[in-house]
Amino acid sequence: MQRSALIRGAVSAAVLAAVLHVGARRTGPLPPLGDFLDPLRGVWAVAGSAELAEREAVSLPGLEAPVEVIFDDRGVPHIFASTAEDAARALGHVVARDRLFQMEFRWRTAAGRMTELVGEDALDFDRYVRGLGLAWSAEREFAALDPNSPAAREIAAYAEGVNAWIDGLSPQDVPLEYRLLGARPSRWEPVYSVYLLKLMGWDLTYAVTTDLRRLRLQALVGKEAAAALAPVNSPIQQPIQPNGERRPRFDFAPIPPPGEPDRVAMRRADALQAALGPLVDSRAPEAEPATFGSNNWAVAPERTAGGQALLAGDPHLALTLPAIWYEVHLVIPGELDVYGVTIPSVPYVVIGFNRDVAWSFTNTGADVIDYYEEELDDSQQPSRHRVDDQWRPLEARVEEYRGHGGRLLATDTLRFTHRGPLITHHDRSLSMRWTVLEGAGETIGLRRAARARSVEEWLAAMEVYTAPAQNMILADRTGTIAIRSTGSFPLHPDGSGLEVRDGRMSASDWAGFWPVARYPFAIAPQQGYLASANQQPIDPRDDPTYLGADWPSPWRAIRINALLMADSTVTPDAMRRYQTEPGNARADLFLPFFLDAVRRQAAGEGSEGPAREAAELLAAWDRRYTKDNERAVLFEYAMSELANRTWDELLGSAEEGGRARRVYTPSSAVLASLIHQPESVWWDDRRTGDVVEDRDAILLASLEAALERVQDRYGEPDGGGWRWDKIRHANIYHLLELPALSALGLPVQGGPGNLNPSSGRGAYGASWRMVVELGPQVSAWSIYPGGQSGHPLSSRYVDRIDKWVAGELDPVLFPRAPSDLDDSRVASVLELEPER
Amino acid sequence: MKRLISWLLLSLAFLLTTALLGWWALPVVAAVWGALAAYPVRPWRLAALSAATAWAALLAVGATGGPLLELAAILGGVFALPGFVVVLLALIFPALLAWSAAGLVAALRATLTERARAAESG
Repeated sequence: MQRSALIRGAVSAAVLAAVLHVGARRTGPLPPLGDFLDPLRGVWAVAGSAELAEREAVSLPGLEAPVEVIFDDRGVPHIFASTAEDAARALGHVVARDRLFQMEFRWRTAAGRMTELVGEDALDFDRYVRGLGLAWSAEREFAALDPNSPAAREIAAYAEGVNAWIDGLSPQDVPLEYRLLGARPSRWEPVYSVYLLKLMGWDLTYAVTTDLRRLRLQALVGKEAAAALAPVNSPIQQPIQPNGERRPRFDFAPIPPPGEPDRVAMRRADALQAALGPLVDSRAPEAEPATFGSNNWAVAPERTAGGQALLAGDPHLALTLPAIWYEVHLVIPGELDVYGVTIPSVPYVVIGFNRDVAWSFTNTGADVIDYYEEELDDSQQPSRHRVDDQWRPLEARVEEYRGHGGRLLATDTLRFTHRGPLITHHDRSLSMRWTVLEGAGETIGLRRAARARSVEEWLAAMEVYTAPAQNMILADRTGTIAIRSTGSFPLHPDGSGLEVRDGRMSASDWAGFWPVARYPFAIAPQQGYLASANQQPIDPRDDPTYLGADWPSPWRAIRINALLMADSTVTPDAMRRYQTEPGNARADLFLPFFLDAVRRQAAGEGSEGPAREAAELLAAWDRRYTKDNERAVLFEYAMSELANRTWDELLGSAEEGGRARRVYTPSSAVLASLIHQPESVWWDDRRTGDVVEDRDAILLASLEAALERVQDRYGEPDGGGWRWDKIRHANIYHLLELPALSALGLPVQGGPGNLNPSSGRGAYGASWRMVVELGPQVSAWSIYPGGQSGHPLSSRYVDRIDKWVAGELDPVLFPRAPSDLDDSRVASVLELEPER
Repeated sequence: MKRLISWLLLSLAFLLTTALLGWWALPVVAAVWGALAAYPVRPWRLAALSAATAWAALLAVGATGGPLLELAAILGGVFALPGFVVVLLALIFPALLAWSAAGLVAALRATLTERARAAESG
């Protein structure tokens, strides 16, 4: 009896210890199961907070007067406040209710403090981000803000609103993601709002690897050929600032043959790679350089059916759940009445409209980063760097990395020159100057712009805006339309931003910035419309000053300009349709070359082969990327084969145990230039031994290979497997990349080069679509992929995705007062009261 | 009948202490039960059953306030398990805690009792 009791006791003790352990401590990726599974306070509580209460009154510390928040049936809060600070406080509170985890995830991303949330696995990422200096810059920028300025006070009020929500969290209000991570929400600091603006700057302007790849290209084929393959100016010109030409201009120049390898460039590329170390983007260079394919355009009243200015915008960013944007309407009677999207964490509408003006952004993509090779006084513990034979002090900043529960994981000392963060790796030191780290006027600009009454006022308000540089399009109620690429554009000392500079000379430093008066700009153009799609902003014939290089191929710009030129009675619905229009300027240009190559071959030696079969299939194609299209896939494979066969000279040495990778892939605009040079030596595929190919031979071989690959993968042409919606999908991943919380495999209309572009993993796309008609009453339509709530169980989590996929927009409600809202459209009312 | 009443009372005790103090109160209540249960009854089985019953009742109450099964399905997706397994885990966890705590204390008590008897008889 005693023996069995002992055994039973031992077994029970072991089980108890094990269960207590998994209950109280995290085990692998699992959170502590006791807190997690607790039926009242654990993850199950989350189910009780999915939907908005019909009516709720909450006391909010710091409010000067009551604020009424009315959520309409799309989940959009209309915030009616008496003061700007109250509006910001209410906005912080409301956004935190819907997006608290996203807010924390994003500020931690920018600050390099993810280890505290997700554990030691994020240490490398945190080190990488802190090395970029985003937090360092945000903190300096915030400290420099006059604390009594309206912007600083509103940022502080926003933080108070967020913290009021955090302080009052009940177990059911703690978002699911915290439960999964076994974490608790941390309090919100005002500086986090600035972190988020830095994060946008990082997303949109950080292009370190492009410089490295360009150097590798030069190392491989020499300077002359590299300059032609990665040109400063786009070979196809249809700039944002209209150049007076009605059609795109093709500046196709002969591409010099590959030159001898450039050993100096090779050494410098190795040095740059060594110095940048973890900052190098390891994504495969086989694809054309990744770009954010945003669009915006505006049409003057004389070209619209309604006789009123129209504006459309669809910024393309990483698609995430929750979405990057939060839709909101802020009203302060007599002062502010602005509708649009804010980034959760920022107390301002970023893209939107008020009663008089509408605006939207696309990314400018200017070259706003330079690197300087620095000489330090000590390779191990430097405290100074040499400039013009004088030693200058380095700023040092000790960074501590902490894990769960505040456990210290690592410590680094980051150093900064007067230019920016210093990166030291393998005894080489580079400092980086980057406009994003120097930005200062974004919050002030956005605040003022929301109050502008005309295009001119809006432009003046945004003159303080520095980074990330954006192509800002505008329209107002008087019918004026305008566009301006706005931001800090460095004046590089030698007129180029492509070199790593000698940090020992102050002459290497930027000579200043472009004055606002020289920004690419157009207002009330004769053509009656304006458009930007990330193309080169200004025709180099109009201003040859270096602004950047390697501009995205302007296929989308060509397409939207063609659509707008052809339509002199544009309607809001046409604006909507254009946002997902399936036509493709890239296909329009390249397809005839494929077909002509087959025709020429047939006329010569005759052809019955697969190239002819592929050409017949493509000849019947309408060049549209609709979901039911069954030919676009063949064209895309042919384009992929064409790039692979054409750019064989750009293959680097084979990596150990693997195949050789291209060091650089020229843009399809450069390929378009080359395709007009049929005898160029670039067409020869060196891998085919003693055969010398010309353009037609490569086009034919590409078609043959494409047909074979497509048939292998998707079956026969009319078997149903070639439908575009079976091939091309958008994938909207949750921030934690958990498939169960993501929306994956969404069929989309559009492909590479379309106005609604889709390529690669499908994880980028139109993050917001908006159309505004600026009549006596402003009308607007909008959608974004996701929903207002970050709660996966909420009916507002993914409620907009179906319409987004279909290219549809919702009409938005834009009431002047709470009483203007029809009761049937009101989903919830939140009354925020000052604390007594 | 006595066992039914014990089950209900013990479930109620687990339910209340969980609601008031949290999950870690489970082994404490189970240990007390293990110590107090009439010897030589095997208290761990009832402790496990009652703990699972208490948490099931709390989950059922929670289900009236929100889509609990939908949440279970999402959690199942996150952990690559069927949703019902997650719910099952939420019942197995308290059951194991209570079973082991009650079993440990009961075993200790049995050992001590046997020793005392042996000392008396020896």
